[in-house]
Amino acid sequence: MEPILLRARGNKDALSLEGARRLGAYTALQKALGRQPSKIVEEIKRSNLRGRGGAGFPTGLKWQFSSDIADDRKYMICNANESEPGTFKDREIIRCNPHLLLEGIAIAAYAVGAHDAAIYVRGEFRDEADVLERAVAEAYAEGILGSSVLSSPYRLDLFVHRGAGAYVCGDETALLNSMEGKRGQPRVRPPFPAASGFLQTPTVVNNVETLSCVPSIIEHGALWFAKIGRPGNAGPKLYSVSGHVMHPGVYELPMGTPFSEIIYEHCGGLPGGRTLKAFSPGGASTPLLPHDKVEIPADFDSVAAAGSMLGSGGLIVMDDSACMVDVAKNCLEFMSRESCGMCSPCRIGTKVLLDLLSDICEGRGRPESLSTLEVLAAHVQQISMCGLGQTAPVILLSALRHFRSEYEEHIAHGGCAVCRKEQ
Amino acid sequence: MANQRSVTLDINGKRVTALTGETLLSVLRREGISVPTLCYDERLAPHGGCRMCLVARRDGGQGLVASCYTPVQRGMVIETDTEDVMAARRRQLQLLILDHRMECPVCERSGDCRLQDLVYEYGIEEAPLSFSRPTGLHDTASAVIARDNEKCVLCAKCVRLCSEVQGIDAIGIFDRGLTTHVSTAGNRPLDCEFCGQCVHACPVGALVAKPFVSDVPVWLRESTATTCSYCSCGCLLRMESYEGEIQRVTPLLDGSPNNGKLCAKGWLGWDITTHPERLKHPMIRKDRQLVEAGWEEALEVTIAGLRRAQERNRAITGLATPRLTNEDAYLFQRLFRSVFGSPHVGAGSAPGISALVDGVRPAYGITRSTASFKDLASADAVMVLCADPTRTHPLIKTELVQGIMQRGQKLLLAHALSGGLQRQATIYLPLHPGTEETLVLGLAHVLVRKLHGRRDGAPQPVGFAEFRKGLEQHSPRAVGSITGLQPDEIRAAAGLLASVDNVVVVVLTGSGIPGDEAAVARRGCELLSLLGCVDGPGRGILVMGEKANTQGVVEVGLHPALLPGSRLVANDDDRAACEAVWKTSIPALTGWNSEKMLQAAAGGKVGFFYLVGQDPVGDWRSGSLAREALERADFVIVQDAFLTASTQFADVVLPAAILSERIGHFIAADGMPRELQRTDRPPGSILQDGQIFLELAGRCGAAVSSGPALREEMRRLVRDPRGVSPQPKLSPPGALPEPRVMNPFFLDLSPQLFHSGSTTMRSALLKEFAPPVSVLLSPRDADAIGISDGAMVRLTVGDNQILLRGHIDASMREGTIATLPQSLKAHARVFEDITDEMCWVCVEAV
Repeated sequence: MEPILLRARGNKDALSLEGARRLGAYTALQKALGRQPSKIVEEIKRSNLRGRGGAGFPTGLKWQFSSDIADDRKYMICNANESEPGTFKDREIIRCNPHLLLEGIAIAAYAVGAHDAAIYVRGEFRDEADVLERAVAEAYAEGILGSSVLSSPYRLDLFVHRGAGAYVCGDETALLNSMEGKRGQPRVRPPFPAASGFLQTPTVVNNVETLSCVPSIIEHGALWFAKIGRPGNAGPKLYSVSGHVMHPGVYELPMGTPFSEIIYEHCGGLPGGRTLKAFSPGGASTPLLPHDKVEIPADFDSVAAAGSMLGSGGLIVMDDSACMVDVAKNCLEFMSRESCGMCSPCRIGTKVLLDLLSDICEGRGRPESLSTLEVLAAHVQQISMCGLGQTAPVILLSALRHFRSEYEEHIAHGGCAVCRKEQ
Repeated sequence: MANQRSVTLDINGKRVTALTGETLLSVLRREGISVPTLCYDERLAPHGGCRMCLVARRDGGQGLVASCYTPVQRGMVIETDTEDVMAARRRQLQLLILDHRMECPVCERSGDCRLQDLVYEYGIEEAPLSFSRPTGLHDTASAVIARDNEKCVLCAKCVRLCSEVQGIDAIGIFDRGLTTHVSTAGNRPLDCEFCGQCVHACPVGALVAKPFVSDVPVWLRESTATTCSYCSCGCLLRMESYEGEIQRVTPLLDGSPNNGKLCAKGWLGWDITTHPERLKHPMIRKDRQLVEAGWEEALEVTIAGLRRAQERNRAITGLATPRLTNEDAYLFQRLFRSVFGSPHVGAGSAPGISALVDGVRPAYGITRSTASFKDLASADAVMVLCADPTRTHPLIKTELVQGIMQRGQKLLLAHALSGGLQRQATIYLPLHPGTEETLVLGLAHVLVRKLHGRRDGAPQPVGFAEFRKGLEQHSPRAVGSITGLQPDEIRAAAGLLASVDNVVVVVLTGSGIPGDEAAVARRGCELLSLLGCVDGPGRGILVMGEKANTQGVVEVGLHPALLPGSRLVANDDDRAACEAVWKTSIPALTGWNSEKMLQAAAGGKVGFFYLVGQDPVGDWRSGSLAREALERADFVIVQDAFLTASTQFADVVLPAAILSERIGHFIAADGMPRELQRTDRPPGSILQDGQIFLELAGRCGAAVSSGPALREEMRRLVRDPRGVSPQPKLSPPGALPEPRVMNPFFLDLSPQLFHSGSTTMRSALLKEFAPPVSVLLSPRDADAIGISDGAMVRLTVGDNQILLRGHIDASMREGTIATLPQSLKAHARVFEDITDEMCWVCVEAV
């Protein structure tokens, strides 16, 4: 497949507006401005584009909710708070083709009837925020943003908001709080952002990769897009691969490429002839899949059927040198540190899980520790308020399901074969 | 809520009807189903943090949902006490106590702790886990509130109340993960209004009021509900005492007008009753000295003084504070009119009385506010005149903050003072001191043109044509030049008022700023007449008296022109109605007002001057006239809790019960009755004011009823003030006043956050963290004058100078300095008289 989202990778020209235009930037926007907004929403619906932030919600449907609301103060917000462990694909788009993202945002805003847009950039993405700010300034200077987008009567203002570095701000309501200058913690839902989001106005929040798909859909049509990938799981997909592979990195492939193909063909397999043990298909908040699931297609529905989630497409590969107690502990360490602290199951629960895992790792595990882990992990998953807490224990739970014997070994012998080998 | 539809859902197998927009929790509680919560507070937006209110949703496969923010939906199937719900709650509690420093046996809140109750109810034991709880921040720096973050369950009620109700944002939530905690910016010592809302709402022992730390467990304390005696908001509170000593003060929550809120004064200002200088026994003057005496002797001397005045045919005058209860105030005027036979009785120049009697009455024909606190809450727009409620009437302030934050209410704030609600106001009109009346007429000028005098359907008020004519010269430009406002600001304010349906005008009295409160109240009423907002839900005038029972004393006739039930002394029928009940004739003359009383006394015409809780020499603006008056009056009797500037002229001093030592009733500014219950017994041989009046009446041989008979008598004469409808009338405005010449600084003498006057200044507690004697000035002015925080400044007022310590306060407006009149008076005899002219002063470094 010819790259679409990463077509400008390696081409420094694309960073300037002039260079990006030579690569075709903003022709889709020009085309979109000549059509009814509702037709664009229809086009996106027909394309089967699904949100690339993790949940896979149909983008056209999300836009439909928003365009149905009659309100002249709407916001289109791009979620660039890419913080999921193992996920670094949005960063790649921003780094190599910022104007593609701006164009996508502009088309989306036009489609839902928003005249104000923002990009919420993860605090640690300093260089990327610089890139975006330069691109936005150029777009304003050239009349792509502002009171008359590409000389049309349509006004669109856009600003870049730099986050302060919080994983939880990837949750759209926490993101909105943060943008409003409040503490980055999720809001109770309802109301949902579509009805009352940024500054209580109807707001659409879309992921960087999702919005970057939009120009090509307008350019080539929904059918073209829908034909890439698999039915219901259309389009190009960026897989950011990390862990035990020869060539970690970001790969743009048709959605539904089997994990085996990604790992063994594109990433050059595992180093040193080691064998695959498990992989997390979409970052630290998607359940682990054992090695025998490696042949399934990497798309939303297939991964869900296998008991996990495609998530953000942040594929983490683990070979037989990975201790599964340690993996879960590492994950919980991250989650308990990034918990916003607002709701108690997440704030306290993740830390209790972490302490239990530390005990097991360090040889202080007790026979009843496993059932305590399971009960508590399920509790945190079920009753936490937002996605962070609800997914924080999923790596642990899946590790317990697929690799329970390693936990038992740890408890019985103070360590597992893997740990002992390392010593 | 608009467009609410009725839906039915299934709760524990029972069909229940609810309205869309309601939360599950409110429906469950209405159905009498107990649902545990730690972070829910009906005054706040739902938070969803504690996850205790979980219930099981059996339709739609959603599992456990938090009921506090889940809206009801048609066809929901809810179960509340199944094993999965109980297990989840038990696990939640187990997690919470892991992160809670369990020192229940010595915890201040033991026996009064929500977490303790729930742990007991759900039978939780400590989990056998090697969980490492981080050491939390323990902030004990402030004099009032201690915060122990190791006990905090992060319900965030304190933070949310501070923001959503108090409008202060003094505290916030910091950090993330397990080290998430409540603190101030930069971990600095708490520096706030010390309203205590955070402490009252804390479900555990994380926030503790240091002054109320007690070694008496809550279950041994006697708890009494009563009414605050400070301002006219009439907040209800609970006093916990043990062996006559106050252990803790908390606000009443459910159904009380203050809805769980108090201010620093109402929360902390109760140690006055145990002040060491408290008068405990009567005193009489012997050889020019006041010496202690028994009640018999003191009352005999008093009666002798009274007889002499009657024999010599000299005037008998009486002034009582509007802090008296209805019963006591009624007895005082009854004593004067029907026993002493004197018409000269009243509450003096107490702020608020004139606004009601000389302001609201000419405009509406009644002597009460037409708006209640409920109307204040439901108004679309509120205009606040003369002062900032943060300092004068803190409950009003919190109502406004809630209205603005939660309901998008519009606030139009017009006063010359600093700080307070400026940040929250929709339009802030910082006018020149004392120009409120002119501003309101300027607004009327614009409105008359805009609305053509009336709303659709509303009848044109009486006197409209003349009123309109008289307004011609009050153009925004002319009014702007007098008030110091831009003409466009005045037009914008009028536009805001015209754009909404329901307006409440609040007149705050007692701020001590120049100007005529009656004129402002009257014009405020007239503005509402023009807007068609005289009365009804979300509409009306609200006059906030300075002292607790300002409205009540007017209703019971403690006024030289008014008899009980707003009857007129000058009206024969009204007088006859009282005479019939009192079975005696009363003087037909309207009595003297307080100024005339003082002038008459200074002119040697008063034979017996009775002061009850009033200190005209020390407290009133015209101190020198009062001094002369008391010096020349033949016999002066002062009934008070302390020796005051006025008692030095007293022949007899009688010790009276105050604050929580009394029983009876008030009528708060909203026209609603409040009850006082005695919570502590006064020291020594102190009596309540009414008992003293009855003693005196008895010694005069008069039969004045007490107890149930008194209440019955009052029921016959004092009508429910809400029973009479306002009759709007407009009176033509006079000529525009001359613009004032401004000296460099405006001296703001209105109440401060923690001190309203002589009473609060006797509270050791309030004084401890807020020393009252100082001058506040803005950082920029301090810079310009060249002084640092705490340095001495010289104030030049007219020809007089005074040295005071200057404190820099970021909330002060430039060009304004603030102090309390008591501070000036305490410092120099030259400030005995405080006049409007004295509000303009020079300030320089020493």
